[in-house]
Amino acid sequence: MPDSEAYIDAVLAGDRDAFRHLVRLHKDSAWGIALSVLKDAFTARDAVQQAFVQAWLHLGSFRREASFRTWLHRIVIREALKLAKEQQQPAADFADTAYIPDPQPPESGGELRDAHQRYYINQALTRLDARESLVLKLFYLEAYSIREISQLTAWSESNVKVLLYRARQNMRVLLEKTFRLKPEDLYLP
Amino acid sequence: MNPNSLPQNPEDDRFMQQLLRKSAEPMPFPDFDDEVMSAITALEAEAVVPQKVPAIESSAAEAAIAADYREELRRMRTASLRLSWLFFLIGLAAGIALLLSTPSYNIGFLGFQGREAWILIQGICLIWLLMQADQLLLLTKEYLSGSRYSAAKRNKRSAA
Repeated sequence: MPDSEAYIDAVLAGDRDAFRHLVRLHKDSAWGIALSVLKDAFTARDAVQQAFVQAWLHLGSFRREASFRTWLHRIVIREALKLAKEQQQPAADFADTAYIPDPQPPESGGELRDAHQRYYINQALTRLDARESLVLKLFYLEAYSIREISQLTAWSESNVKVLLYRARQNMRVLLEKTFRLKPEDLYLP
Repeated sequence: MNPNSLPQNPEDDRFMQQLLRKSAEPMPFPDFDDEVMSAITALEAEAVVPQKVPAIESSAAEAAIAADYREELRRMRTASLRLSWLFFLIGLAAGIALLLSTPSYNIGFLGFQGREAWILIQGICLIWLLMQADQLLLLTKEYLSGSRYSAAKRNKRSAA
């Protein structure tokens, strides 16, 4: 991944268009984090856009003790949680089975197609509590440690551990009991 | 069940990692870059530029900056407290060693002679030691409870 530092220096030197490169580099991970909290693609887009604008406004105060990616993710998480609170989104019904389609029959070798796997996994993540899905993404996808997640979210480390434990349990329940999928159905070598 | 006591399950972690990697999708809004740059252009038109000094316009960015400072202050306080305890214990050990190794010279102190003078010196040292220990324990208690640096107290002070 290209170094964000060079683009940051260019922006601070007055090259506004260099910020576009930072947006391209980090928008996907930022959107994934916002989506895990807000559960809606368009709302998540708005949160990420606000986060990038705030990052641009305060780029001069970025002290570079952590990476730009970490700094940006912290802003995204705060914006997403703020937006979720403002909208007072109702918690996704964990046990809601009304909209779950019948799972596709497994193909030869017991493996689902890529798109179906992604669909069911994201359906399960949508049904998880916002904090649980956020912690799952930060820990397993963005590879943050418990301590780093605690710093990003301002939650205590013990709280993060509890959320991670619950998220793993609930994810398994959703996949195995609600969607009637087995781990080996989703296994990718 | 206490999650802290659960044994690590590498297979479970690998499975979760594969699941989450599978869930990753690119942002489905191809014009997002342009929208962000347009928003920035609009702000520039209002004469807002990247500032060297933090501008308090967003609670999210302000909170992020404040969190950085709080973390740095916490690290400094932890280091200071550890050094305080270290030097206190070194001083205590050195003082005890000195008292035990010093032979009972027939000295005079504040009008007292010999053994009485030594007892007086030791008594004064003990009182001073207890005072320092009391202050250090109080500092440690405040650090552990966070009460000295709590937001409530800061607000109270600023209101006063």
